[in-house]
Parts: sequence; C-alpha cells; structure tokens
Amino acid sequence: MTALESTSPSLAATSPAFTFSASTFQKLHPTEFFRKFASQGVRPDGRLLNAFRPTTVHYGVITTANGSAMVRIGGTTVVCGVKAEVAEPKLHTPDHGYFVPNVDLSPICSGAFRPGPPSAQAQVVSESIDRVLKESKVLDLKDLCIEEGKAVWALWVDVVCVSYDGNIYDAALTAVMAALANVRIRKPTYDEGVVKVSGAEDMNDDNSFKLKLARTPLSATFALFDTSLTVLADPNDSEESICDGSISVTLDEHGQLCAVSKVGAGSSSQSLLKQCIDRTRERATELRAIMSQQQQ
Amino acid sequence: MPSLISPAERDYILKGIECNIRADGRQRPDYREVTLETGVVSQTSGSARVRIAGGTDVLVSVKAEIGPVLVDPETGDGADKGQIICSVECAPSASQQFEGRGADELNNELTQMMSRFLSHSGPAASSFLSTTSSSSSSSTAASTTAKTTSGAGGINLSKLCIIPGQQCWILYVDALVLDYGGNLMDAIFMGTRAAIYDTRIPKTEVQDLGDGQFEFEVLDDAEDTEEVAGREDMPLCVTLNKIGARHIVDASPLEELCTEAKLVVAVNRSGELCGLQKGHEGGIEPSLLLEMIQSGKTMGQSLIKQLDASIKKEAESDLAKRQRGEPVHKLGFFAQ
Amino acid sequence: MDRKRVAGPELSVAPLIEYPVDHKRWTPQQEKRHDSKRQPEDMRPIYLKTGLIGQASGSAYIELEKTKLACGVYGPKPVKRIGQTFSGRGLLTCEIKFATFSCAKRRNQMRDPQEKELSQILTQALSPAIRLDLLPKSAIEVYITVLESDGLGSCFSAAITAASVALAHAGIEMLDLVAGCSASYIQTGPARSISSGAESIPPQIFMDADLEEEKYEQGSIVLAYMPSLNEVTHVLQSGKAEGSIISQSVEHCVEACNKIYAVMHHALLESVKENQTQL
Repeated sequence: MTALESTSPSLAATSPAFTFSASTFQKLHPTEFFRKFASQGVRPDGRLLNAFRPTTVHYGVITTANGSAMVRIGGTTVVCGVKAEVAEPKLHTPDHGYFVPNVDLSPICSGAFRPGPPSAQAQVVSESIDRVLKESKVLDLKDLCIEEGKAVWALWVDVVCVSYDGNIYDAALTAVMAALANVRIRKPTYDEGVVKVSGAEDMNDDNSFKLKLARTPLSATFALFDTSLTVLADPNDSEESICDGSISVTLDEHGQLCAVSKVGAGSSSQSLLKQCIDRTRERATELRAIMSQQQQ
Repeated sequence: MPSLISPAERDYILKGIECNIRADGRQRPDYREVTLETGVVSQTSGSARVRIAGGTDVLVSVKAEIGPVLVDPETGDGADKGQIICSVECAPSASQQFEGRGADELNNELTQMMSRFLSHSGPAASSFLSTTSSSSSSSTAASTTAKTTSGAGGINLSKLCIIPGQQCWILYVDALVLDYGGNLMDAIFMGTRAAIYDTRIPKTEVQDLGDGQFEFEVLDDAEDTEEVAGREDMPLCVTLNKIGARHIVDASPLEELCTEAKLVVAVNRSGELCGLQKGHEGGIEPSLLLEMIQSGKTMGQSLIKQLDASIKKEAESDLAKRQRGEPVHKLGFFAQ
Repeated sequence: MDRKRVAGPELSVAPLIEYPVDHKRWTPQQEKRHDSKRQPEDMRPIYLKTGLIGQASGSAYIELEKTKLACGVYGPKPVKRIGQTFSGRGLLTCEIKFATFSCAKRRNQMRDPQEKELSQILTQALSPAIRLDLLPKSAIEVYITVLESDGLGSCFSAAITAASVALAHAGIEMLDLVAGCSASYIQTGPARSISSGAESIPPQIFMDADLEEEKYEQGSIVLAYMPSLNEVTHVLQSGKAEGSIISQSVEHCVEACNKIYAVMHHALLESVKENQTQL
C-alpha cells in the first residue's frame, strides 16, 4: 500500500503533512486522488486518458427473444432483448410499425438505483437512444407493416443493465444495434383480423426476415474533468462521479455524425470537440471490427 | 389483534402444545367450532359466510358473468372453456394491521394461493402461468385468472362455455375477510366450497344463425337454473402449524405468532393433493414434512365430509320450509 | 400512460402460431423427455459463477441450459425506512424481476402480482438459513433478474440456488446454503380416471422440467432444502397428485438438492481461489 501526501492547502496550513493509505485518500479526497494520476497522464485503473475498456459483444444470447445481444464494456454489462408483437397502427400513420427502446437501470446493477419507476438517468438514456435511432432513420417503420391500417409489428427493445460501472449510454446503444442486427421475425400472414405465423422449428430466409438497418450508429462518451482541461474516454463509475460534464458523439459506418451531445463543465473549445469526434471515429472502427467478428 | 408476543406467553404456548393441551383447552388436532351459512348475499349467484369461534369471519361470494373466452395464442387452448377468477381482500376493519396498504401483501399471498389451488389440474395448463386480468395497480385486491383445462380445482370448465370460441361464463370468486381470528386460509376455502355449492347459473339458449354465427339468450327463470358442474371435487385446505417439535391445526392468532413453519395442504374428497405450500421462516425436516402432509390429508377428507353433510342438511331444511309455505329466514350478518 | 418510459402501442399481442402439417411436437407419450439426452431423474447441467456484478456485496450468475438469471446481494446496510420500529433481527428483502424478453409472451415492465408473490416466497425460503439475529437494525437486499426462463419451476429453484450462493459470496453469515430444485408430474400413459376405477400408470416424476414439458404437467413441486441441517425451508406443490407420488417426489428432490449443493460448493471455492490469485 502506497502512502500519498496530502497537498491540499487547507490541511497544509494547520498541521504537518498527513500520510494516508491510497484507499483512504480516495475516500476522503476523490478529486485530489484522481488529479495525482491525471497529472501523469494515466487513470487509477491504469488506462491512458483516451483509452477505452476492453469490450465484448455476444449475439443471440436469449432464445425467447426475436433478437438479443450482450455487451460488456469493462465492468458494465448490459443485455438487450427485442420482442416483436402485433399491434394496431396509429391513425395518422397506418403503415408505420412501432419501435420502442427502453433502458432499465434496476437495483441489481448498483446500490445507487432504487426499485420503482425509471430514474432520471434511465429516462435520459432511453430518450437519447430513441432520438438517435429515429432521427437517423435507422429503421424504416414502413418495413414493419403487416396489413395497412390493421396490423403492424411493434418492436419492444428492452435493455437490462446487469452490472453498472459507468458509461451506460455507449453500452446500451451498442447492445441495441447488435440486437437489431440479430433480430429474426417470422413472416406473417393476415387473415380476417388474425395475424398468423408459421411455427416451423428452424428459421430460415423462407419463413422469416431480418431487419433492414439503413445505418449502424455507434457512440463514444468522454467525461470532462476540471472544466474541460482533462478529457477521459469511457469513464467508469468512480470517474463519472467526480467529473462535471461529458461529451457523447455518435457516428455511423460512413463516418457521418448522427448525434453529438455535450452537458455540463462550462464551455468547451472547438478543438476539443474535434478531438473527441476523431477519437470516436477510431473507436467506432474498432467496435465494428469486434461486432463483425462475433457475428460469424 | 396482537402483533407482538412476549417470551413468557410464547413459552407457555410451546410447553402446552408439547403436552397436547393448547391455550384454549383444545388438543393438537382439534378444530374450533365452525358456523356456516349459505345464501347470505342476495345480489350474487352464490354466497356463503364462515365463522370460526374465536373470531375469524369470512364472506365468500360468487358472481357469474358473461365474457369473452381466453385463448392461449400458442396452444389455441381455452376456446371452449369458462374461467374462474379469484380474489381475496382483507377488510381494514378486521385488524389494526390491515389499515391502509398494510394488507396488500397478505391479500396478494392469499389470492395467489387460492388461485393456485383452484386452478391447476390438467395438462396443457400450468398454475404458475396464471396471468393477471386486471392490470390496474390501484386495486388493493389482486385477482388472477385461472388458465385451465376442465377440472379447475375439480370444477368442469367446459360446461361453463356458452359459444365455443366466443362467449363463456366467468365465475368471479371474491372472498372478504371481515374479522381475523387465525386460520384464514381454511375459512376461505370452506366458504368457497359452500358458495360454489350455493351458486346457481342461469340457463342459456343458443341459436345457430348459420355461417358460424351464433346468438344466445339468457333465460331469466329464477327457478330453472344450473348448478356448477364438478363442485364435489373442489378441494379444501388444512393449515398445519409447526410449533416446537409438534404441529397443530386451526391456530389462533397467538399460536400463529409462535409458529416456526406453516404448511397449507389442499386435498379433495378422493384424497388427491391439490396443492402444498409452506410459509413462515423456519425449516421442516423431510420426514416431519411427509408426516404433516399425511395428517393434513386425512383431516381434509373428514372436513369435506362434515362440510358436505351440513350444507346438505341446510338445503334440505330450507326446501322443507319452502314446501310447507314457511318463509326461510337467513340469519345473515347480525347473527351471533 | 407510463410517462416515464418511451411509449409504445397500448395493446400488442403475440401472433398466432400455426404449426406446419409435418411438424412433430414433443408429447410425453412419444419419447422419454423433451431433451432426449436426459432421463426422468436427471437435472440439467448447472453453470454457476460468482462475482459478475462489481458493485454488489455478493453476486451470482446461474445457467440451466436455457434458464439464465443473475442475482445481486446488497448489504448488510442500515434500514432506511422511517416508520420501522427497532428490530433485533435483520430485515431480508428479496425482489425477483423477469426481464420483458425472458418468457415466450412479453412481460410487463412493471412488477406483476406473480413476481410479488415469488419474491415473498423467496424471502421465506432463504430466511431460515441466514443468521439475521446477528444483524440488528440492518437490511439485506437480494435482487434477482431473470434474463431467460425455460420452465417456471426450474426458474424459481435456480433463483433460490443463486441467491444462496450470492449471499455466501457477500460474506453474510449463514447456517447453511439453500439448494432449490423442481419436479413435474407428467402423464406418460393413458390418464387415470377416478370414476371408471381402471388401473393405469400413475404420472411420472420428471426432475427439472423445461417449458415444453411443463405444458403437459399435471402438477409440479418446488423444494428448497438445507442439506447439512436436513431441513426443508420451502415446499410449493400445485396440481392434483396422490399422496404417494408426493412423498416420492419429495425424496427425489432432496437427493437432487444434495447434488446441487456440491455444485454450489465448487462455485464458491473457485471464487475464493480467484481472489487469492488476484492478491
């Protein structure tokens, strides 16, 4: 256990320098603790400031769902399942299906979440994913039509967080995109108000179809520490709690921007934003390689 | 109703049970006196009120209504069957603990137990798969639909179907706990059995209009009604409480507070077990478990015989009174 | 209208499944079991691992072929409820939640009465094993998320097993681990009818039935058992069965719980070894 000297001015003025164990120091002065690492260009878990945690993506983990994926980014584990059900379309869009994403941050993944309705954080993540996919027109809702004005497919996309260690937005978006690529829906026949599908054991291209995704947006989140002086890629939970802002960039496979969001931490310069976008491009390429490798 | 028990009282009850003398003088397998009356609520298709000396008072009512059939999308099952929907509610006046949302957990537990024992019976059905019919969270009583084949707790569901694939009879069984004196589950089941015995469903006339179209009419004749088919096979349950190394039946509230583990055994008149559930926070040794199941079974069967005999006696005396032209007085709610 | 979630259609149903003419559905009369590799007394192989959830005091992940669930234990921590009077014993709360995509029919995002009841039963099954008297004024919270469910009986017994392992992983003092197992009674021959009095094959006991087998069950039993203390902490039986079948199934379940106990031990020892190598 290493001893760290406290250099915060208030303590130095009144008494000789204290020495603490590392874990005690982290609990008492989390920002100072972090600054000691950041000044050397590393983070407490050993990563470089712009490094992402090891990411794994697994397809088709849930057989009861039409499509599913499990994504692990460091200690954050999320499982996304897609269920396709039949519903009546809205009156003003009789040939549009439904796409309903929702992220569930339940008490199992962290002690910070309490049982009950979704917290503000969960609502924000669900809304962001909904917005990105709708505005970027990832899915053509007309593809989900069964019988115009009578029956359409409703895709319920639910993301369950099993273990939480920061950066839920990236993990959830990656899981949603992977699950959508994994979806197989049985081809329906419409007969006098009843939608029927074939119950054949194996699903092939004759009796089922996959979703046509116009693009695959993937994201990278950066936390801003010390009012934008330090940028941390892929923050974990302890880093998120000491950072005052974040930037999220979402790109598709053609390098086109799908969404950029910046919250908190005063104002950031243009060059900082450009830096983040460039880093996201690299990250998206890596992530796509991981995903395509797993899909085989 | 006491919610705390002192160590001295607990010790007294424990030692007494070991010597086969309970606090109110009964022996371990003795029931308290049960008063039963059917036909107490005129607006229902059938009703019964059960009172156990010592305070438990339960009112069970059965209403038969017409509704659409519930078809399982995967198996296509249920198109020619009726449904039974149970719910239990503990009135806030019954005990101090039941006021506000205090009784919610207990209501849910009793409702689920009741529908599990009444619902399961044949293949292509699972009591665990009981779905909620009411999704509103504001209801304090949670009701569950029994998704079943013929023989829901013995009751023949196919006879409850009016037009296959479209309309059927739905029996809403609602139990209301008016007073708490221990042993709620047994009282609820006794009341349910008596209420179902008392239930009369109007006859329906189905007309075939051709082309797969059917129309039906409910005959409004109060004298010409049908009884519920299969009601003799309905189960009754016996609650056995393990206190110390022995077990007792029909526990009073104080005895329930001393209970380490509780076993509810549901048995029908042929001796088949329709359900088994353990409660409370203690463990039971497997051999003791089997012993308790056995005693619960024998007790349940004799209870069914006695209950049937008394219902029959009441029905016969009512019929005799009517034939003599005498009015039939129901003791109703003010009887002691 | 649920304003806190992204809204979908108010009502959506699963499409009706039409099986092709040549489709062979498994029935108990045809073959032995749905999974032809298993005998009626065989359980599915269990995969059990601890330490999946970083922020929890203890966690476990269990897989029984297709049944997958994760369990996280938080505590002991101080009781937050204001109205709670002083309690000499710790307070155990269990919450079980099925993910919306875990069953064949999509489940609601909010907890339904079935989940509330299962949570209550889980609390009752685990309480006898935990030394709650050593934790006054404290609360232990057990959260279970079912990711995929292949048979409700097996799901529930897996939940009991995973919760015990997670509690042990969290370092909470317990009297013994609680193993859970389930069995179904399935008619493999002509059905017995009481009125005719004809002699026929009694239903067979299938240990650890999966979803396809559960569709044909006449009854089922779930048992939670502490092997070292030889005590049953919970039993839940539904459906009609003769007394002899029930005694038989209780014995079978007790034997199966002993086998599961060995698997739980192994998983906990592995996690201790991992921690040692990390240090």
